[in-house]
Amino acid sequence: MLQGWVIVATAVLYLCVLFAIAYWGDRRADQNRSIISNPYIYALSIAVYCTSWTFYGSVGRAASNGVGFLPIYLGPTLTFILGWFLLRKMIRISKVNRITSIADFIASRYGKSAMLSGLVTIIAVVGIMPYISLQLKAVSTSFTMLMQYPWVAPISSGSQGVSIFADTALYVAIFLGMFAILFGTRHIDASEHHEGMVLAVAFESVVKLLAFLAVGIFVTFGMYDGFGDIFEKARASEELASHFTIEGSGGYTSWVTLTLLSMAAIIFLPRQFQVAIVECVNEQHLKKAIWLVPLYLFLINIFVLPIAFGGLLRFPDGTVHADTFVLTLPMAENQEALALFAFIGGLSAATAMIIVATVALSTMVSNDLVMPVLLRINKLHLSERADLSGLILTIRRCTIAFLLLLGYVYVRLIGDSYALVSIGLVSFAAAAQFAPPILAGMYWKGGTRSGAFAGLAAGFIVWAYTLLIPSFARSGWIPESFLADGPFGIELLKPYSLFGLPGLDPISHALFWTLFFNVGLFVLVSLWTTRSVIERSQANQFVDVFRKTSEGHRVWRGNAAVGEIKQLVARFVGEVRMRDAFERYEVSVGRRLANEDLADAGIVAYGERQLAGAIGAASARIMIASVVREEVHDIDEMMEMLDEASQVIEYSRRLEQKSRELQIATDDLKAANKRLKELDRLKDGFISTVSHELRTPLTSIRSFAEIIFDNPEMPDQQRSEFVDIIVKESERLTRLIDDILDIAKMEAGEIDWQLRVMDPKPIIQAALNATSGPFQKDDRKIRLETDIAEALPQVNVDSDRLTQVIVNLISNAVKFCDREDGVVSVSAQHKDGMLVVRVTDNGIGIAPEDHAKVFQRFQQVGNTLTEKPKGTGLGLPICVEIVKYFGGTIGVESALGEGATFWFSIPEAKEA
Amino acid sequence: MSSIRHLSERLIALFLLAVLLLNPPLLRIFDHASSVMQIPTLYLYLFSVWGLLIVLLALITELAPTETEDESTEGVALQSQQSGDLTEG
Repeated sequence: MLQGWVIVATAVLYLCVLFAIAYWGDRRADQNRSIISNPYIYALSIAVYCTSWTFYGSVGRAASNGVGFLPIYLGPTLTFILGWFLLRKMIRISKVNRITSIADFIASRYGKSAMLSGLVTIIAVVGIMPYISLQLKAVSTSFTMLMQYPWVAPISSGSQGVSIFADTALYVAIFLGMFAILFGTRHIDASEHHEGMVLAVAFESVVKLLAFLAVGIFVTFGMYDGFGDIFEKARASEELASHFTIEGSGGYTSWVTLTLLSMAAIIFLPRQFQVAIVECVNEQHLKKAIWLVPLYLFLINIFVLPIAFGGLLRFPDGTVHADTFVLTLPMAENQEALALFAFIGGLSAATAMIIVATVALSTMVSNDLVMPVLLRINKLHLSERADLSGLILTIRRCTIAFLLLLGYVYVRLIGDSYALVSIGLVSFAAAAQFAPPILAGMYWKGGTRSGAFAGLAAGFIVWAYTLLIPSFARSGWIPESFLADGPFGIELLKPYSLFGLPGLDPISHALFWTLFFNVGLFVLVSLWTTRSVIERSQANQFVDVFRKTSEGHRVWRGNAAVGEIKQLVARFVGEVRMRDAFERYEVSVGRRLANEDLADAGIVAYGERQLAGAIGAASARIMIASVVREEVHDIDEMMEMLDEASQVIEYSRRLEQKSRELQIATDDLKAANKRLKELDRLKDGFISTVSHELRTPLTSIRSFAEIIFDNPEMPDQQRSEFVDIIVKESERLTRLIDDILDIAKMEAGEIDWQLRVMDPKPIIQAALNATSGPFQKDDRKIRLETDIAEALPQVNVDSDRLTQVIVNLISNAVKFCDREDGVVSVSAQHKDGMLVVRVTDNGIGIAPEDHAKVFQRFQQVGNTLTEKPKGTGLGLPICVEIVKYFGGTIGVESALGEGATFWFSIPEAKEA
Repeated sequence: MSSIRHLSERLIALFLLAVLLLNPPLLRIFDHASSVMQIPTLYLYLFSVWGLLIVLLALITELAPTETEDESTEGVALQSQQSGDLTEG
């Protein structure tokens, strides 16, 4: 028969052992013979992950969900596989920056912002507090159950029926409060290590594991005949067999969700951060811990399913709550000692969690919430007070007491209702909100303070709306219709299917929306805000923590004395510790520091880190800023600032260049405009010239026509003379118009050029044939001399157009050659990769000043007023256009009275 | 240096393997109500995979050298600083 006093005595004895162990651990630490400095203690302390929610709750979940509880332990295994990068980096960052809590970590990354650290603290407290209540509740429930030994009776009314003074939860709360205050807030430690506490927690991890294994072995091999036996018996029951698959136990969505949640929870729950990061004494321990922790989780889960099925088979009527199987199975089998051991195991699981969680939260509340506020209230003149370490400790102790009181009140109020059962996962979801700013903060320099703040705030609000408030509704604090119909009957705002998102269980649903808003806002806001200098510097320190230190190269332009810094540190950590710290510093830099020396960057940074260890980065920053009056820049920062400056310079340089380019463009435009005006003038001239040229033949045609018309009796011979003139003038007119059209087309680029690579010889020959007429018919005597080389280069031309050029030149030569003894010679040569064709006449020649003129339109050399024009005045300009198109040049060599040589050259075609 | 990189690469590979093995769709292969040696297939699969992963994790980390040349100096410096801190506490 298990007496009530035996239970109480054992529990008290156990807690006393805990005190002794913690005390011993602290003593060893004081003597500098640390007991916890090995990977096994470190791994066991991380096993604080397994709370009474694991100890009792896993079996409960397994009984209703089969294997659905398992992802909560598989997730941490996944995280720990990555632990070598993730945790090691976090540990290194925390050591370098003297991080004391998860709020400190986030705030420190994003520019030591007090606002951010405050927000994280609030999220942590609101998110974790119910979880603490759950532990108190578990202890009191298990105690009450055990007190009824050997009766296994369901606890129906929870603690509500019990008076406050008979309520175990209260005594447990008081006891644990004392423990946390004694070992968690013994003194302000610059590194925030609580060796006694860690040792006790590790011890408790051993106890709960052994207790659970003992119960598991008893159930599996004592009550049944091994694993196979239990499962076979369970298979016989239709209802239980559905637990054998995931489909029958929550489905895959919830499987994946729980995996993700627990992956985050194992490091981002404040208590996990405390033991895994803050309390880590040597990052080499991590190497063993990354497989020891999963191994621990594996061991503590082996017997969960057998116990669950064993319990379901043993109590088939469902009167006994599955959450209590670990305790009730040994009781039902009359195993006094085992039942007591199970109770102690549950107690150890609960107390370890409560102790670490309250210590972690109290550090956060004091460092990241209360102190920054107090320091900013100038009226309190806190920053001038001599010794603040006492104040900080008081704040922490009050916080612990307050948290436990709050936890206890929460238990009394909510009692047995829904809220407590699901609260573990609700807390996990709150902790998951820390994942985006921390993970992104460690690998992405672009994240900004505003981004982190917006993401966290949004994630927290959505979390509260989709998980916390519904849990109140389920507990009956607010009407159930809030869940069923949404607030004020707005369907879209139903907390379990926000914005109409259907088909997810509440946890998956909340995880999706919280991360959606958290990550989304974090990234968006980060991309659209700029980082301050301190954010930049912190980002560099976090992301590049493994790079060779940037601390060595600080640039410092402040003006504080060493004494001032020392005084400041002393006010928070105490005179003795301060002196120790600075003596170590002097040893490390190898010189003595006089109080009135100007503090260099190293000392200020060292001082700030000492302070950060005591009061958190955000507060430390405020305090340091009150003493020194300059920003601390390290080389990286300076480089970035330089970078910024040089960007500005670069920008203005480019601006200058742009304006120069603009100036050039304007000049070009002006020139183009001028040219346009000139062209316009030329066009006007051209039109008037064209009309003039057209009118001349027209006038003569008309005059002769009129003469013929007016004199019908004109002699036939004269008439035919006149008609001949009319015909000739008409022909001239036609040629003129053809030429005008030709040149207009050429200039407009409307000619359809038929370019081909060909031998020019046949073309020249054709042109000579075409012009043979004038040489024979004309009454004048004109000789044609040709000198065509045998080998002419291939050219890329339009044969008709080239013929036109040669014909033009020859007919020109014919027109202007000597009237009595005309000689026209045509030569074609291959010269310097060019085809050169020359047409020479022995006429009057052209004065050098007129050479350019002959190629202009309607310009004919000689007096056009006295002499009848011999051509249209467009022949040469057309030749110019054509030769230009072929890529060649055209020119004239001549002097007055010596004949003229027109030549053109076309480059040899490249072999295709 | 190469060994530490190997450690990192092996751990990443192990992580990816673990994610694949412990999640659908691979999980679906074993998600049915049959038994192997009286133990439900799914349970047996999950716990074997889990155990195997832990063994692999232990092998990978334990076989890697304890100190690495590049980071060792830094690590030692940090440790000494830490142990210095401990004297404070």
